[in-house]
Amino acid sequence: MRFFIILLICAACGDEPPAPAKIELPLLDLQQANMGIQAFNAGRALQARGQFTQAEQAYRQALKEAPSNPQYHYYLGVALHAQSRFTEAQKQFEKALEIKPDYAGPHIALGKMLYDVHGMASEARELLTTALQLAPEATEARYILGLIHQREGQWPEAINIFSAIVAADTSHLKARTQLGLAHLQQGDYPQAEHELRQVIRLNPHEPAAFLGLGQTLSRSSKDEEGQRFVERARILGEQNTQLKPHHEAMLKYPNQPKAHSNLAALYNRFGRLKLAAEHYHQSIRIDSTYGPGYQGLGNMYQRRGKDALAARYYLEALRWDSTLAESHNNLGLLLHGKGELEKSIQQYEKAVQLAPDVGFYISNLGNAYLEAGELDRAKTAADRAIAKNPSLVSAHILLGDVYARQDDFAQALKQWQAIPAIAADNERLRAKITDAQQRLAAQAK
Amino acid sequence: MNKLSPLLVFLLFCTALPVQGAGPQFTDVTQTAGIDFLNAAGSTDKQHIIETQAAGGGFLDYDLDGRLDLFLTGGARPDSTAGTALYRGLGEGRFNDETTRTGTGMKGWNMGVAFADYDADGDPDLYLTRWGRDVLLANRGDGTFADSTSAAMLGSEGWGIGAAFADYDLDGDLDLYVANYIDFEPGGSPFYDGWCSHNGVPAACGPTGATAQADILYRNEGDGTFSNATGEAGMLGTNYYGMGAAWSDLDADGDPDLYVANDGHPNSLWRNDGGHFVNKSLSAGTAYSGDGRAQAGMGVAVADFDNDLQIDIFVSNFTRDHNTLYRNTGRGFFTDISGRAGLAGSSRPFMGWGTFFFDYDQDGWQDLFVANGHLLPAIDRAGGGLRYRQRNQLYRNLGNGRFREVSIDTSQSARQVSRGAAYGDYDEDGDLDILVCNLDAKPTLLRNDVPGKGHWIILALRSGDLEAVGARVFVDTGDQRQIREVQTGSSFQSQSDTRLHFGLESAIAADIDIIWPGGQRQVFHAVPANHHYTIRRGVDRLITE
Repeated sequence: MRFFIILLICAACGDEPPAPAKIELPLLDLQQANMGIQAFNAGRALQARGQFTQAEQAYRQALKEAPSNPQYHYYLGVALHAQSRFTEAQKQFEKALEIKPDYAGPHIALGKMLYDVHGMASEARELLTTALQLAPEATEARYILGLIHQREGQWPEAINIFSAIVAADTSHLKARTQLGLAHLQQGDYPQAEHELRQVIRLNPHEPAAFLGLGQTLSRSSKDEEGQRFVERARILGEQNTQLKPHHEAMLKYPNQPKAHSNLAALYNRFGRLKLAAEHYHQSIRIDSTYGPGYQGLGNMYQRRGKDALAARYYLEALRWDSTLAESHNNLGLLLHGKGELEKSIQQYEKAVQLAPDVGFYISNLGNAYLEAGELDRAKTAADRAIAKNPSLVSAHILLGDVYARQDDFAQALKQWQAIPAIAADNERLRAKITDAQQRLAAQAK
Repeated sequence: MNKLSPLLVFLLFCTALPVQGAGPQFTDVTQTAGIDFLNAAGSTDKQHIIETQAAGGGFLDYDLDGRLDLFLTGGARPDSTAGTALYRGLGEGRFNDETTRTGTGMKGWNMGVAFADYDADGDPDLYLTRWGRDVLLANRGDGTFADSTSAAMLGSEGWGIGAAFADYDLDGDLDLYVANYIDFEPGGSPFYDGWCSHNGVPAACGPTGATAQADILYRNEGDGTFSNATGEAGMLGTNYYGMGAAWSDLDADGDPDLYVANDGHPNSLWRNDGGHFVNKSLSAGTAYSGDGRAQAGMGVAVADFDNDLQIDIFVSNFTRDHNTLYRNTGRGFFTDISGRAGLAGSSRPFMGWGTFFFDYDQDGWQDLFVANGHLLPAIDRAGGGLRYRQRNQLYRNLGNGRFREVSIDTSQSARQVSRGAAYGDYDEDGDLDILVCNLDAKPTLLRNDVPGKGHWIILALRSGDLEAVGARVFVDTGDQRQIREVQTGSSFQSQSDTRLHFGLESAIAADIDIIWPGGQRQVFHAVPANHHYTIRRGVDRLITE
């Protein structure tokens, strides 16, 4: 339900509603009109950030300056609707239409509200159809009309409408998803499969499309393939559940860089890199000194193997916040990879100093010590890392490596085999184990 | 716009009115029946989510006198008296409060009920879901009950909502599923006794943000105890906000499957594969609405609404969303046909809870009832037609895949904040009456006085001394073939009469084909209409009540 509210809010504010063709304002004092425009523009900006209460105030200010401006009434209605103040919103939409009867926006808003709140499908359809006659380009109105048809079980009508939207704009994924789902509901599985595969090709993170495709395939006697899509939908759905509070926090605090970088970190973890980059960049657009934003971008590019770019972002992160242990550690990894051992040790040491309880930072430092031939320091680091996190794979491998360097292959094997799952998918480690076993056998002879 | 404004005012006015002026006649007989239980569920402003749901109940015959009795649940009362009530049916439509004498009065937050003979001693026992420790009240057979929770090794400490019994492992005794909701403590995280906001008005915080509690499947060990079989039955996994739960053999393979409505999350359909369960809801098409959204599932009704002999699923949902009818299309698949069936737009202004299919006019097509009521007393201030007290909805099945809403009565007093709902023939006149459980009010008992109803048949199925929970019965009148299952639980925190009622329209006799749990079949031909019958497993003689 809350998802649906968000959907409607987004529908209300996300797209540009069609403006009235020509607004004939009464003669106003120029200064007054300018003040009204300024307040209105401020309202639009606030609304775009989801700050509907403040947007409402701005629109009310604009209406004080220009009480007969239908656009101001309409936008005030949208801000009120977003706050679920339906009666007040309705009055504003009606006022806008009283001033400008051929204004499509309030027709759309009223139609949407009549269905959403009161379930009045036929009245809503009538208003939306009128709106589309006034503003045929109003895609959002067409989409809502399609949704109403779909929810009311008028699948052929819904399919016609969604098809028209998709024909005009092949990238309208919401419409294409619903087109696929409507075909599925109607039992036209080939068409459903065609449309939903298109959606997935364009957006591989849309759970509804994956689920719809999975259901379609299962119903088309392709159950094995269908189950794979259903499973992917389940994973995406769970990801969305985790993303939801962060997304809501971002909408609530759009000017907080942390809200964006937290959301971006989750997108990054889920492999949705475009969105991750978008929100990391937004965090540093809001505050160009926000270190975690740069760090996140560094992390993202490092995962993609773009080391030079990643290093630049880590350095930028540390320029603004030298206490970011993760940036030090990751920079250390990049330097280590380039063979700059001494510099990497410096970075690892800073990371460990800043976050002394993070086992894998200590383990990374130990690896660098080992490579530098400082076996005692490497062993101390490995022991410490294991003490912090007994199941840390890299620390056990490190400790085994230290023992191996000391020709103590029995102890090395003990460490490498400490966690059986380690070796299963680590070819290098398996080779080490085989080698150690051969050496032990040779020693025994 | 000058034209539109009065139109809108008129339309909004229309939504506030019952749908049809001269609808089917149900008479509110609560007072004359002697039911005076007042459910006072916490404060009237409902600052805490716990205060918004405790109202359940249902029909049972605890003293085996052939007359239906009533059990009711409710929230913690300011005067610390019991929040439950047991009314004994006296006949002639009257009840007497036997709560104290029977030992069934429970303080605290009592949410829902399920009735079943868990110990196979021939009389129904009571399971109460509660906020805090759930309670099993064992029927001693002498008109009193004993708290057997510990002895039966039950007593979930979660916030239980839905409960339902069925023999999922087909070993001859009744197992139990309990749907649990959320972690909640007044003043505790994440609510902190604060007010949240919804639709622009103050609202109890939650459930969003709260930790979901795990549902529990209890296996009946056959010795008076239960064990937690959730894990071994394959039902562990992501927890959701569990609400209504209903057992039904949805794939007609001889064992009961389970459907659970989850608030704000995908609903679950647990397919029973020989005692091991797999959640098939995503691929079956019953997790989300047809347009791909998780809904706020509340109550569940399972029945064959279109007489295609496959069990369909109906879920009641939040306001500004539609209630959802999933049609069983066979091979384990379902399709959301709510709009096509006429149930989508008409349900959007309402917040649905208790729900069931029943054939009130006895035309052979199961109709639908939904109990409604908003969560927030302050919603009246939000405007736009949203109301705290809402009318309940009765939909007549038109027999062509569609329903039409018909009014129950026209009095404003019928608007309550309703939650649980159940049906039963309490006055033994052969038609189905309605019990609605209300928040901060008395329940409503609606007597079916619909004129011109069709013929009927009511069957009580016994397997030895036990009610044959899970039995499937086909009734064939030549023109029509219908199916019913003996079910417990379902709806929302409620349970209906376990006897099976069939409307026969103009038929004066019907063939009855029973599939007993375990698969044994028994057939009766040309059974005369308009009687209550008891059928005993393996006995080829109908007993007329």
